[in-house]
Amino acid sequence: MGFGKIRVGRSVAAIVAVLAIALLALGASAGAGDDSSTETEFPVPPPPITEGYYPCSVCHAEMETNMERRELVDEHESIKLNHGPRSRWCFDCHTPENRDVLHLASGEVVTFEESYLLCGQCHGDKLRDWKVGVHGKRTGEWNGKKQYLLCANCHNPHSPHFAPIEPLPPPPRPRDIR
Amino acid sequence: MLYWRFFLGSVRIWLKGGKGYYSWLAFLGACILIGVLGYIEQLHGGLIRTHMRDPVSWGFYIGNFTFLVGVAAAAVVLVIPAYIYNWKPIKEIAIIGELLAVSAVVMCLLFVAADLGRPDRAWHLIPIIGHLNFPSSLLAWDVLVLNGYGALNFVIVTYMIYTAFVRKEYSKSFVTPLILISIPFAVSIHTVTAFVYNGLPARPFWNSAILAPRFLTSAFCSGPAIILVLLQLLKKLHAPRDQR
Amino acid sequence: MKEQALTIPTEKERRRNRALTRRRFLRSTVVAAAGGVLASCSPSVRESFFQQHLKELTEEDKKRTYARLAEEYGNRYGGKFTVGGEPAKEGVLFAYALDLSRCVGCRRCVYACVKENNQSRDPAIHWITVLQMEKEKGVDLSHADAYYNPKAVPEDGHFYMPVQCQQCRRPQCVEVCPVGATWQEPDGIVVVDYNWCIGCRYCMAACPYGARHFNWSRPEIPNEQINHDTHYLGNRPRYKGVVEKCTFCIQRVRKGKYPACVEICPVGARKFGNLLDPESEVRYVIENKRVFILKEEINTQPKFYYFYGV
Repeated sequence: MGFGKIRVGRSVAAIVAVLAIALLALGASAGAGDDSSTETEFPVPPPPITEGYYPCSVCHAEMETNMERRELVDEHESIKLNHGPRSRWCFDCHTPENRDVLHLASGEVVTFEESYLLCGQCHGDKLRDWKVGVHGKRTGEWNGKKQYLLCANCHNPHSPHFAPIEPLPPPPRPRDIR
Repeated sequence: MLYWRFFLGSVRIWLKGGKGYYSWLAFLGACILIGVLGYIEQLHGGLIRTHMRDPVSWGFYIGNFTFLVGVAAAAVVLVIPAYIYNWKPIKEIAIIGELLAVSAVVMCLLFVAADLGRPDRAWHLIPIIGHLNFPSSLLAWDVLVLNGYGALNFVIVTYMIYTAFVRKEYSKSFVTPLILISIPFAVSIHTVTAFVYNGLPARPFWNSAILAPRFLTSAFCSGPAIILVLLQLLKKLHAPRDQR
Repeated sequence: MKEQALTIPTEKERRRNRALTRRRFLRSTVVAAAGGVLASCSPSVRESFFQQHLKELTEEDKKRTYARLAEEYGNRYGGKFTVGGEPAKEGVLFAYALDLSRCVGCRRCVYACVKENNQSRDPAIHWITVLQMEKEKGVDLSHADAYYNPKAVPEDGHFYMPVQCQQCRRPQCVEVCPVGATWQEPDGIVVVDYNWCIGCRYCMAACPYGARHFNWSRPEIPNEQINHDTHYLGNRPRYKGVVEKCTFCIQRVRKGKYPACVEICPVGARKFGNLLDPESEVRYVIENKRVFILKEEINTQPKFYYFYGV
């Protein structure tokens, strides 16, 4: 699905988790209390970040922030931004000061695990449906523990449209059943 | 014993005949043999041999069953005037009609049995021993009326032939009630068969209020038609020379 | 049941008990007579021939039957089978919702179902049929194509509508079955007793959704593809000459899991849950989305809801 290569290892997930807890402990975000409750409510798998890319600050801390809109050539060249209006740019979602987190339009910082809050800013109806399990897939138990998927587990956030996929073979026609 | 003599006598009559008669029996026997071999093949390989498939899951067997139900029901057309009005000239014909009804019912049941995916479980249809879904399923109604009609006609016709065999007058008080019962049965075997089809909301093309009367009228045409053909043949083959 | 035993039986109950003993007597006579004929058969064949309707088996009989079947399946397909008989949970009515605006017609559900439910591979039986329809014509079954096979889906101008058993509240198939081999469980799942079905296919004529499938020949499943975790009324291997259908993955949902088709769907178009639980997905869909049921006009009252999640 052109999205398969974006995977993340267990170690990365662990780092992400540690970071998220650290962020909460620091009280970096104003809505920290709310976030902890939503985290237990919507158990999500680790965000689909290309292996070896996280934490972003490993590279970006040393780099100067270039706010200019441009085509990426040295790194991240696989990212083709095709999401919403043409004026969209990396820093609409990624935080220039701290690349390990995202931010909302209000400036409020969110982790990659809570990226649905970010998506929900524009796609509020989808977020509402997603929370009750109607948009997107939920697995697990119909009357018990459920596993959610992040928006980014299915939609490439940089180019969210689903790519067409190959169908499995059709059923045999009655005349072909022998 | 008289019944045993009747049975043996019937068999003796059945086995007596000319060259033409034996070749006819041989021809029928060959047909039956082909059918049995085909059925064994179907038992072995499954109903896939019939080339019916999920979208059209009822075919030739059920079509034939429907036709033969009509033929069986038609016997009553001849039976009513013969016994109710005690009209002598039609009486012998009525016996032929009833014999036809019995054989048609037997063929009906055989066609349905051949159409079953699991004939070994046919006993599930027997009330009490099995689990007949009556009155919800119209097929359960059909099972009851077909077997009932077959049994009634078998009793009536065997009794008539038996009285002829022992050269006695038949008892009207025994036959008439049975005939009276067989009339609604004859009507019901064909209407119930129609209801089997048009009781299905899933098949809008079968949902016609006229289906049951239409089945009945076509039965009253096809049944006597077969009897007429049969009588013509019997007249040609068996009547005394001066009456041919 | 315990409380009932303490009270004095009413006239009606007494009559029923008498009928039951009469029934049992008749039955045992017939069984004894037929037993002589079948005496030469192997005990397993004899036992399966005389197996009674599931609803008339005692718990003890059921256990024995399940064990016998597990052994039979093990002999045929290899491996250790479990044939379960989990009963319906109280206060549960299963329902399904399918998002037509999401489905891309990839048929992942069809094959996940085949695998989970031990459908015959040869001849192929699919409990789910995905219909391709034109957006311009809307939901129009007379212009639906089940055999579409392009390089990639979804195709322009088309939408997809998977059809499987609609688990009607008034199931026509149950009404017409002449031997009561199919019935609706308390949790709303319409099931088939594959050991009671006589294969008359009246239910297939009666089903408006083409959801019932017949084993036209001996079902073939490669040994390595068999699912050993089965339910008596669900995915246990079937026989030649019996009818089968979707059971909402009874072997999974009675243990709390989602059906296989829900778990595989790559676009999350399939929703499943308890209709009696106001918090369930299906209830949200019915209360908040544009919902329709297939062939509403024939009053089968399905518990399978199609909706537009847009």
